Formats: sequence, structure tokens, C-alpha cells
Amino acid sequence: MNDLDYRHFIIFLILFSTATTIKAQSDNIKELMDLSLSDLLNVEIVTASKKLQKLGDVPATVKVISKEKIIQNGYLTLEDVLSDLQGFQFRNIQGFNSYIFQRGIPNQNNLTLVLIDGIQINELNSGGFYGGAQYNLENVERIEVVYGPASALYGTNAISGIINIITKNPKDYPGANASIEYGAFNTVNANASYRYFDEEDNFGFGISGMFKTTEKADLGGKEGDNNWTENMENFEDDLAVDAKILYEEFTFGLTFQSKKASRTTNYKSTGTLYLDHGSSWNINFLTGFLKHDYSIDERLKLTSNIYCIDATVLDNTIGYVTTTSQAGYYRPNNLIGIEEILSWEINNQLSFIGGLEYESETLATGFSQTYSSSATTAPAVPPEPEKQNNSLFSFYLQSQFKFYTNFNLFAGFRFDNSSVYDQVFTPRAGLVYKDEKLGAKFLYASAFRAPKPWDYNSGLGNLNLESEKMSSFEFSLSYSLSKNSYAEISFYKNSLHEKLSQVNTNNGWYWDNVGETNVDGVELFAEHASDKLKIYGNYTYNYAVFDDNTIVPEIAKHSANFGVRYNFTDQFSIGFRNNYLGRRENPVYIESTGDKQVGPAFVSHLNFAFINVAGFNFRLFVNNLFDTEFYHTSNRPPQRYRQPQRMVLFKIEYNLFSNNF
Amino acid sequence: MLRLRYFVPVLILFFLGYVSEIKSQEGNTEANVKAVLVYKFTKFLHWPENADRDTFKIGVLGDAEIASALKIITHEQLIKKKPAKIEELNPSTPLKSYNIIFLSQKSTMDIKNVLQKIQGEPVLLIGDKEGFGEKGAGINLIKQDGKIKFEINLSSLRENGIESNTQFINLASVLYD
Repeated sequence: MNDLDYRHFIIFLILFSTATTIKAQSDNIKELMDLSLSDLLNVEIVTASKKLQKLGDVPATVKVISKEKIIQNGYLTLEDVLSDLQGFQFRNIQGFNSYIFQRGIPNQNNLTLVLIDGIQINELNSGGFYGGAQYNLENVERIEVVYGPASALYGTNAISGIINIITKNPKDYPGANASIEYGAFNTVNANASYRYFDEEDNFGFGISGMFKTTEKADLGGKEGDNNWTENMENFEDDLAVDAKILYEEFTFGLTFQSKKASRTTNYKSTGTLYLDHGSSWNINFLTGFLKHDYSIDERLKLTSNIYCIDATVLDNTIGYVTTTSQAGYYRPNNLIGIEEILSWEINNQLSFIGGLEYESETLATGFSQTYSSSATTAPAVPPEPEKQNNSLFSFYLQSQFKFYTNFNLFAGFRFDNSSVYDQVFTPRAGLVYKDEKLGAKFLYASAFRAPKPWDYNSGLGNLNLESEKMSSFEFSLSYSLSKNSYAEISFYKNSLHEKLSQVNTNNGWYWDNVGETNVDGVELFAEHASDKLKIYGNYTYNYAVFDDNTIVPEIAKHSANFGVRYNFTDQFSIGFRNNYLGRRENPVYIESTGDKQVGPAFVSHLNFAFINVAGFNFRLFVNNLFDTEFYHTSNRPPQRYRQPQRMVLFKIEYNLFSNNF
Repeated sequence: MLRLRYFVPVLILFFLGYVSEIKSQEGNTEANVKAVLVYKFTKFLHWPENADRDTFKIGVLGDAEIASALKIITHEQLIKKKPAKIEELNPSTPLKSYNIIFLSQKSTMDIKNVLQKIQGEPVLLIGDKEGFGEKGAGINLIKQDGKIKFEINLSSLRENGIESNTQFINLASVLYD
């Protein structure tokens, strides 16, 4: 955004910084109401907010996105959810995937671990999660975002951090509700949920379904840098179903996601043989778990969890269409695992958490592909691809020692023994200070990402790949000014070794462990909430370089977000949020600009909510309020990606039995 | 274009200004935690049929903050599938018509008088003072290591006809019988 007038930005900041009021009880109570009785008994009352305080005790920087924020801001995709947080940048190709870079390292979505109710949703074959709209966000209780390496507890892929999506519990949200949303680019988002809980029988269940469809943006012709024709096709259809059953100490959970998205934006159609319609990337995710929580006594708890995951690129996928053919893809993968977690609070000073985990997975070694002989003929159904069976045995242990008032020492490790990548030992340690107002954390953590079949076999293939390894140091300070006013700053130094890079040769390309990426970063955050007004702001500085000190492309040094919500009455509120992303170097030369730069962007979003009107809630969202023209970087033939124009959406929600939407 | 030399100082000033400007406020989270606990307790307890009324009534003696927090909670939540009514009481108020009486440590009323007023009635007395559990409050809130824990007096619950389950009893720090 070259024409950004920074004076406006400063005015916003001044307005933001001067707004203070007295906090009502209601927000704090709503947070407490979400806790179980046993959790409530562990809430320390010396500080104000359960959320802020609990996060202050964790040996990592953690942000929580509440269900209220998700609904109020009208987030439709996982990228949307993360867009107002510090430390995130994006490469949204406005197609079958969106790439999310946490703390300054570009990647194929395989450096951050995404979990739904603790079960990974990263695709099994590549280790990369899918950004996009297939997440049933209406059924989300909260999303916890952990910054920094976490392999010491979670194993592979938890290099830059973790995103844990926690779905609603039937016990806490009994009732039925439904919503429908319609808006620009033929976007439809429909949801329905029903949850029931019987206190006497200690039994309950919940089911929630979602359908979304959207054409995302106007990318035809000039609007899309002339990469595609005016009649290009670019759709995404998503279906999701979540189910949960509670009985006594057992929880059964099921998540199904079906994503069908055009692959048009992967390629340029103008001047090439590729056509910009007819492709469809069809992928299904299915996860299920059965968990048993057993309290041996107040201090000793055992959790048993058996889980399974299926992530399959379906055999009706059309990867691309050219003037002479259609390409069919098929790639099935599944995994089954079992985990035992023991949590032992020996006394008020010393506690342990330890776990044993075993996983067995069957993965395709690559895509099974077929081709038709014309642009209008579907390819034959691809045959079963060659598969490999892998196993993983892991154990981990973490201790927490309160050695002096307000000081906690954390130390832990995880040991993984894989049939593919052998043994990996991952330690971490931290010192955490927390008093009523001030918190400080000194953290060291390491992490790894094991190569997956997609890495070993893509392009020319390379079977000698090693795990990527991360080491990280972090120091953070937080300060609670009052029960709902909070500020924090984090400094971190991350180093990714044995980094997987694409190596190009005359015969083709392959992945190899080449060099390092080093990131020095600072993140600032502050928030305040009162009866009427809620405000937040954050700023991120990232200095990301390779080991030869060249700047890492696709990472801006500066990014910032701030927002405000004002409740005019109990029923009517307005939200205004803003995202700034600084200049980024593009991996490839951009013909339309004559350089390798993607300019900075300042994008604003406005939303209105009119709630509790005879059981109905009405919401209006205006995304990209000022219709700013802005782009994301690209490592594909389209040399940069135009982002959506102004998008107006209208939503109606109906709560049949409950106000807990 | 937003230049670094403006952007970073402004942000730092903003955060410093923000930090210094907001006045520290006295927290009432303790009242919130106690009020939410009172609400959560009702999910584990059963009152006899003769306590069945159109509304679930909670009387609070000596703590306006707890009463205020309970009002916020019950504004949106039913208790035992009924709307709840929260009232701040004075020592002369009859107590038999309530499902729960919350007796704060700030109250001038003696626990013996309260117990006398609810004797044999389907009324749960929740105390909020060290020693109230032993003296006969069915449930008593106590502070330990900066956290709120609770005691259960099983014989008092029985005398008032209130049933609890094992899951709930296991969460209590102290049991009296």
C-alpha cells in the first residue's frame, strides 16, 4: 500500500491508547463459566483474569482466540482467524490452499502443527495443514495458538508453533442453533448445531454441521494481473461435520472435513497450455478419538486416548486441465494411535506430566496419477498407489518445580523412535516468573520436522533427507495493569537447521537439507476491555535471513494489527479491525511491477452486530472496507496473488434453546 | 509509505503511554470465582421435591459483589431448568423460601442463627469463612494458596434433604460428617 497516509495510522493509535474505562464483571464471569468445577478450584484469585493468568504460567507464549471473537469478526477461514494476531504472515494463493508463516519462516504449512481437540489435522503425507474454509468455526469453543517450538511435547511439525482448535462441549452449550450467511463472490456459509446434556445420567452429545461455498475474489483478466481469462473458474466448496459424545469419564469425538477447491490459481492460463476451469482438488479429512479421563486421586490423573486419522486426496481429483488433457490424482493415507498421559502433582511445589504414544500409519509413497487425452474428457480413476507402513513410539516427560515464591522452573524432553527417521531427542527448559501483575519467561526449546513421503518423493526425489531442526531462545515480559488490561513483549531468536530447500537441476528439482534460516523477532501486544469498549493492538518485527545473511523472501520486517469494538447497547455493537503487512521480497521477478517486491498493505474491516432480537442475531461484515488493492507473494507461475476486493456479507443466526451461540 | 523511523517510535510510545495511562483497578475476581462456584455446585446437588418452586432462589447475606456476580450469571443461565432469583438479604429476612443461602464472612449474622432459621428445611447453606463447615454449613468456601477450595458437611446436607454425588464429594478438600 504505497499511498498509505501514516498520519491516519497514528491517529488510530492515539485514539486506541487513550481509551480506558472500568471493567465490568461480566467478561471475567463468562470466562470462568467455561471452566469445569475442578478447573475452577485451581483458579488462582490473586490476579484478575483466568485467561491471562493461566497463560502467564505456561512455559510458552500463547494467545487464545475466543468463540466470541470468531463470531463477531466473521472469520471464515483459518487464515482469517490468525490474521489479527502478532507473528503471522500469509501467502494466500486464493486457490486450493493458503500458506501461513508463523514467526518469520516461509514454508508449506508444515512447520506449524494444527490440532482439533488435540488430534493433528496436518495432512499425513506432506505434514502440511490446509489453510482455508473447511474448518467448522461455529462449533469452536476457542483456539489456542502456541508460539515457538513445542516438539518436546508434540513431536514432529511443532517447529514454529501449534494451533489447537477446541470444539464446543455439549455440557457447556446445550441447545440448538443455526445460521446462514451470504455475500460477495457468491459466498454462502450455513451452519446448524444441536447439543444435549443430561446432568443426572452424566451423558450428552453434540453434532454440528457446516457448508461453505465461495468464489473468493475477482481475479479475472486485469484484476488478476492478466494471469487468467475473464471467465476463470475459482471455487471452494467445504463441508464439515463434528460430533461429540460424553458419558461419565469417556469422550468420543469425530471431525469430518471435505474440501473441494479449484486449482486454477496454481498456474497461469494466459500464454500457457493450462486452462482456467475444470480442475478440482478434492480432499477429505476424518479424525476420531475415544478418550478416558481417570482421576486416581486429586493429584494423580491418567488420560487414555485412542485416535485415528484419515487424510485422502480423493480419486476424483482433477489436478489440472490443459488444452490436451486432464490430470487425475489420488493419494490415500491413514493413521491410528494410542496415547497414555499421566499428570502427577506430587506436592504444591513439584509436578510432572508424562506420556507414552504409539502410532502406526499407512501412507501412499506418492500420488497415483492418470491422464485423459483431451481437455473435456475425465481421466480414468487412478489406481491404488504404492504404500508404506511406518510406526512411531514416543515418550515424553515434563516437570514443573516451584522453587521460590512466584518462580517456576520447567524442564522436559521427548524421545521419538520412528521406523522412518530413527531416534530424535527433543529437550526444552524454561524459567517462569509470575506475580499479581508482572510475568517473565526465559525459554529454550528445540523442535524437529521429520521428512514425509511428499518430501522424499517430490520431483526427482531424495531418500537421504534428514529432519529439519529448530532451536529457539525467547524472553518475554507481561504486565497486567488491571483485571482486563494487559500488555506483553516477546523477544525471540530462532534458528532452523538442516532446512529443506528446493534444489533445481537441468533434469528437474528435489528437496535437500541445505543451510539455515535465522529469525530475530520482537512481538508487542496490548489489550483492554471495558463495559462498552474493547481494544487491542500488536506489532511484530521479524528479521529473517539465510546463513549467508541474505534476506528470506516472503517475510516482511514489520507487521501490525489493531482493532476496536464498541458496544452501543447490549444488543448493538460495531467492530473495526486493521491489518498492516510491510513490504516483502518476492521469490520471483514480477513482470507487472518490474521488480521482486510486494508492497506493504494496510487493510481495514468493519462489522456490525445486532443480537438477541427474538432469538435472532443479525450481523453485517464489510471486509477490505476501503477496497484496497493488495497482493501476496508467490512461488508459483502467477508471480504474485491479488487478494480479495471489498467483500460485504450478511449473516442471520437463530438460537432455538440457548443463548450460548 | 509508512517509514520505519516513524512507525517504531510511535508504536513504542503507544505501548508506553498505554501502559502508564491505565490506572490499576482493584480486582473482584474472587467474588466472580465464588459466584461461579455457587452456580456450578447446583449442577451436582439435588433438592427434595418439597423445595420445588417456579424459581430457584438464592439469598445472599453480607456480600453485594457475590450477589451482583450471581445476577450476571443467572441473567443468562437457568438453574435446575428454572429461572433464578438472586436477593440480597438482611438479618430479619425469613430464609425458608430460598434454595440456597450464601453467608459471607462480612455478614453480621451469626451462623447459629442462620442454621436455626433453616433447620429441617430444604435450604443449602453455603458459608464463606474458615470454620463455617465444621459449624454446620452444608458447603463452605475456603481460601488455600490463593485458590478457592470447598468443604462439605455431609450431615448438614442430609439434615436439609440435599443429595450430592460421589464425583462432587471427591472434589471437596475437607469432609465433615
